[in-house]
Amino acid sequence: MAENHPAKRRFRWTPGLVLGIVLMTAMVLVGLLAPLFLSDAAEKLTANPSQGPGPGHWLGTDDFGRDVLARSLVATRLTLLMTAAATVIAVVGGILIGTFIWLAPPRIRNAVLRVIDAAVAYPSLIFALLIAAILGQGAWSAVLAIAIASIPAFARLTANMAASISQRNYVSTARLLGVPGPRIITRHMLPNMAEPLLVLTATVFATTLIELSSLSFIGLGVQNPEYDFGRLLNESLVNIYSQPLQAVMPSIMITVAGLSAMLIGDGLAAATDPRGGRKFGSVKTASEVPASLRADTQSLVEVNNLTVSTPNGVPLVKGVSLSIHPGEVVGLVGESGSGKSLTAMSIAGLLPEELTVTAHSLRLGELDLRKKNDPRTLATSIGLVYQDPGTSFNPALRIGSQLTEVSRVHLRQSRKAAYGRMVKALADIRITQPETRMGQHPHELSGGMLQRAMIASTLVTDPRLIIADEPTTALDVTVQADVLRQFRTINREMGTAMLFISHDIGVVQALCDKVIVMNGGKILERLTGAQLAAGDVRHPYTKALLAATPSIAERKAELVSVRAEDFTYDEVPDEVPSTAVLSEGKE
Amino acid sequence: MTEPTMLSKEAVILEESRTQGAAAGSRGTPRGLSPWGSYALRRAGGVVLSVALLVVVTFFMVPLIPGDPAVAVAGADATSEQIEAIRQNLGLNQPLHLQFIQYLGNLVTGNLGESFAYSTSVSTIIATKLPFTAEIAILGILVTLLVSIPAGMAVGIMTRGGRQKWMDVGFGMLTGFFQAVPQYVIATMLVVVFAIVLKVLPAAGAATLSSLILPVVGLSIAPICSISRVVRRETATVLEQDYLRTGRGWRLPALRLYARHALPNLMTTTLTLAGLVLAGMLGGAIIIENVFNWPGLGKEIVTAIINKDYPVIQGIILVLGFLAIILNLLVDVILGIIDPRTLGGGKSHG
Amino acid sequence: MHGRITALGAAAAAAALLLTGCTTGSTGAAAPAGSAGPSTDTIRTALNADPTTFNAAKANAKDDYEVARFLYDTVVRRDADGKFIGGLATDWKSTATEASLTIRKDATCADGTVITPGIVAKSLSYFADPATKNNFGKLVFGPGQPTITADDAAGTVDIKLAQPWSELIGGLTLAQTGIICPAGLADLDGLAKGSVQGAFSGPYTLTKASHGVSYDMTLRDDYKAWPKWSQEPEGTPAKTVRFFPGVNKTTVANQLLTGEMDVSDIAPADTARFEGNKDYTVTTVPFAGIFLLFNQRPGSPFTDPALRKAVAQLMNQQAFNAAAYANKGITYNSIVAPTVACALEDSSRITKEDADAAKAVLAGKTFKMVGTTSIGPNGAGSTYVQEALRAAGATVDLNLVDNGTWATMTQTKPETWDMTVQGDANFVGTVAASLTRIAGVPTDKGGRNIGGGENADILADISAAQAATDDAQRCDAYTKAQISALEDNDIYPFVGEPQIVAQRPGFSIQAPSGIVDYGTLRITK
Repeated sequence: MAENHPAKRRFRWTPGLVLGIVLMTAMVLVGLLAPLFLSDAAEKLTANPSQGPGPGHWLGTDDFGRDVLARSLVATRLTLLMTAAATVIAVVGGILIGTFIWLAPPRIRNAVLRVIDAAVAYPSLIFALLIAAILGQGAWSAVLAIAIASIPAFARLTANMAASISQRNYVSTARLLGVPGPRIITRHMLPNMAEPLLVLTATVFATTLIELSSLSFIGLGVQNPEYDFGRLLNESLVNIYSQPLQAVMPSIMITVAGLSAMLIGDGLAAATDPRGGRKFGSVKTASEVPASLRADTQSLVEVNNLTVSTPNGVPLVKGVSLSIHPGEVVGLVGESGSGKSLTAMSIAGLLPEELTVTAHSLRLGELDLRKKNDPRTLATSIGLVYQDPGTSFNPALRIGSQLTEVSRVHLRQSRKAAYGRMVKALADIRITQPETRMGQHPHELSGGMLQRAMIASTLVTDPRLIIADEPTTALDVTVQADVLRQFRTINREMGTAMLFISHDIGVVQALCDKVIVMNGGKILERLTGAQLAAGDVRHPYTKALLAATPSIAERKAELVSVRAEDFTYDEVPDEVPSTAVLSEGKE
Repeated sequence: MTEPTMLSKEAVILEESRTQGAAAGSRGTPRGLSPWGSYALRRAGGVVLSVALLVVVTFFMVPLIPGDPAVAVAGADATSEQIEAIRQNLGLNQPLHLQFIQYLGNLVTGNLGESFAYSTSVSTIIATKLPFTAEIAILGILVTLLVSIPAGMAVGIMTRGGRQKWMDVGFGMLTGFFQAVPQYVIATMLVVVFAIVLKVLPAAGAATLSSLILPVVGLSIAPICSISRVVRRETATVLEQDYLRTGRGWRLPALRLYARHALPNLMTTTLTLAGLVLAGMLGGAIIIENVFNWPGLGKEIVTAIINKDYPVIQGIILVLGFLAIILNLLVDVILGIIDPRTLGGGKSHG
Repeated sequence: MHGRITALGAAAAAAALLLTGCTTGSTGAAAPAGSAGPSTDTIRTALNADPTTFNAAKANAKDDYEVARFLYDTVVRRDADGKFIGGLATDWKSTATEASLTIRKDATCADGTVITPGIVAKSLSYFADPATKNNFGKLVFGPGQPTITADDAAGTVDIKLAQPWSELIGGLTLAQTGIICPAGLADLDGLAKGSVQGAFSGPYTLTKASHGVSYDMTLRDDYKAWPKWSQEPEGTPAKTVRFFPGVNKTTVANQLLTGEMDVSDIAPADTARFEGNKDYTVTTVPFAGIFLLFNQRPGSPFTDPALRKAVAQLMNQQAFNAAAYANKGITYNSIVAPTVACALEDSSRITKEDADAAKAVLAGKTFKMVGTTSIGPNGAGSTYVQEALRAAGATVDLNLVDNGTWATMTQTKPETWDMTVQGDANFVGTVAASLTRIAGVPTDKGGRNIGGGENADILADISAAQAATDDAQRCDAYTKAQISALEDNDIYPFVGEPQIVAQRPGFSIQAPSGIVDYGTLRITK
């Protein structure tokens, strides 16, 4: 959140946002125009009190003989003005407190934060009631009461955002350089908070509207001769059983105003949400593909002419074929967006539903992976190890319960049996104090230990294939070697086939029997581990990758100048997808 | 009235869930203590500070309400001597700081004072009415959580990553609509439909179990909308987390995946908000209490403000504030049990 | 993990059930009949607010003397057609300066003590004692301290007034003068809380008091001292009367219609919901006279009679009635209800509406007004005055406040207001009781006249009326006083605030001589 460069994100118009803006515009227009034309009908006492609807008065008249419809429309102006004023005071007050406490000494800051916490927890209605009672009735004291009661919530949010921003480098730097505090706030903090604050302001506008009308409703808000929606409702709900129509229009107006502000808030949040905006089409797993290029019936895994494309038809993986023999370790190498993870996840059957997968064949042993398979078979046949062990475990659950889940769910083992087996598996891969680890939460373990635990968990089901997707990338270099050794050992001792994905060709060459180099959704080169070790590569891209390995870091510059477009692919050439599309793919 | 500012709190909580972990910066952990130990130490300080502030603010703010309590107590047609005598009786002639010291002294012994207006002690009034408020508030929050968590999760799952756009829009409109309709309109409509027209439920009062239904529903509708929106958004976030992909890799059944892996991770935000909602319901059901003639604390405080009944206002504000602080603490403790990371002890995984 | 969440959930659910059980158990179980239908021996009714005291002699608010009527008997009761009947007294003789009451011998306190003349005299003396600090003593006994003595042998109580005061017998019908038995006078704290069972002389005792929730009164088995009404109310007194305090009037109307409430005051706007329904009985009586009062202290613009007249010329009783009381208010010809003895018989003395003349005087003027939210829904009564003056080009800064603040401002801060809409509950039903509010001693000098205008003519007329020996003479004096107040535009009378009591089928209540007597609450089937 609070990105450095929010401008880069595209603004997406959602139906809700459009509707909200249209409704709000209508309300503002009513607020502007109604008092100009309808004041007389709305405010003049007539001799026809409490009339039902009729030609002169579409919704009838109130107890004073004034036109109900006109009053509802004229009230819009004051209601919107008060709401806007309260919102502005709350937002500005909250931002001021929230940012300036970051300039205060830590002791004072912590005390103020505690006070704000307590104030947020306190039922703010009671607080607002008390303030309104002290200030006396009236539009502006109601505005103040609601605004003051909303400030703590806003201050807390701003303080939290300011906390995260103030930890960023450029703020620390600015501080060290002696840039004055207020300038840090205006130059660095506020611009970075602008977006969430805008979203929140729209929402708070909606809430303030309802709160103000509630105060008016209990008689503490707007006083005669002024009137807002809340006061009109207060007056009409008294007569709800004798003249129900009186309450209709103010109810509608207040609801529409609140709803439109809320829709705008939702819409703004969605429009600026980096996760939003993806499109989904139908999911197709069927295929019409060219005939097999390399059928290999001996293999454990056979992938033949696999394509993966986005719903709008942009291909991400373009006809990849590969095979893995039993006991073989195959490495899949390429940079981000090369399609290597998509290929692996196609085999695992874990691609996001919205992507369309087609293949002439996609098989693990006798399992046709293009079809929907029994989860139990899949779970026990394929073991998965992911990139970041820190996020791959559920932070809320204990390690033990997660590691034994497959055994318990799919192998129907008892809790105790699964536990015993897992403890042994942990001990097997030299994790110290396995019983203690089982009882701990993920955040209490180191990344290397978590990754080894994850590997151990894949072994207890005795899988036919382990897919490891960048399993060492998130780990320290020293731990990396250890984890790689684990994979080697498993492969040697248990003969499990592996598909090992990495962007680091150096890691792959230590482990793999076969290495496949991918870029742009296509396979560029197939090598044996020995070829790679010997540096016997032909494709310039592979050469560039090799150059990027730490051992030959001085040639790193070369890679920078090398781009995928510069190469002729060794398979059917195709147009190169734009980087935008690639970055939206699953990596 | 429900707790209307709840909405802005909801908004704030939503935003905070987007800026996850930001608050961690303000938390430090004393060395050499277990997570719970240091947590208890840290929170105890906070509670003491909050309570102290509450007592001071309450005591000195309440007398700022315009109007002379002695005149209000004396009623119409009282002579100025009578009013003066009453003022003397109520101890209002003493300097404020002396009154405060006396108030503190009483507070330490659990004595909240005597009502100015009624021949009863404040503690009796609160003890009589708090159970009624607590009854609808607790049922209200249970109903709210039981409805909004499954509903929010279901919608979050169905619309994850931008699926079923129209359901997303529809959900936003529907929940937005019910939040935008003022509670007094909703409550009145409930009475009109279920008590007056259909005659299936009592219109008001706290006489029977069935008379609980309408107030609880009226109290819960807005929070159901706001919490289910939060749950929906949190679900969307949680579903994109790596550990859910791990769960899918383990081919866990959908129910197990969502209930065991997604649900606990929604709870931090949901329960934090629920705690605030409950505190709000305890103190802010004034409209519901009015429409349904429910003998709760909200109505009492409005009457007390009208009567300038300082001890009652102070007592209720104090008790509600104290409850809010305790609830806040309780929620945090529950969250600590569900997800020990929130204790602020260990390192963070986002 | 799983286990802990489950445990937490279970604990929360259990706690909720426990709480639910506690609270509904106390109310739900006590009313097994619930809302299903009328229970045969209980009457459910509403109070505006919690009674502030159960000490009848200190009852200041309407709810206080409403409950006092059940708990304490007065010596005299009001019957139909302005007549009086005996309560604890069987017979009485009175002149302008003294009265002698013969006390019945069969009446007892709730603790069995026989109510002797001595007990009656002691209770009335307590009521009349300035130290008791009630606001009604002067209404009953007139100015000065009365001397109240008992003759137990003769069975009489003698009251000697300090000054002539012809309203004594009427005053002794007030629930505030209810006889408090010795047990109550011995424990004033307990008396106020209603916890002294022996204090009660009336037909009911307070058996349960739950602040803000409900109050139960139970009929005494040994009570026989019912008054002999000229027309005996039908039905039987309820074994239990349950009061629900602080109920919103619209909600009460709902509850009456759904059968959750039996008898209660309702709001004027809700009357229409009952009027078409032949099962329900609606009794409407004037409760308080509503009038526009001018501040006539030096410094207020309304020391100028021309301004007062102009404002009065803008006022319209019907429009006020529609705005404040949904046309259910009782039209007043004067400061008192038409039912009060000696009230003016037609509206000819009220300043005639003349908007144009008023406009010429008032346009561009600004006035300070204070009003209470309790006159008309949300203070619509004051709003009406503000709007009417606004239409004439005058600006009114209206400060609409609750009753307590209104009392503070009108009584102690005369500089904060120029005019106000006042409600005058005339409990004794005499012209004098209302006139002293606008012409008597100003509040700043210890009187009850908040307007501060000391109209000497009116005061002289009141004295003449009090000293009068026959009714015609008294009425002459009162008529003169009323005309004087209207011609001087000290006030502009609007209407009588209606007290509208709706009764569900099977329940009834009487309002003899236009004042609701809660002692006549009956179950008729």
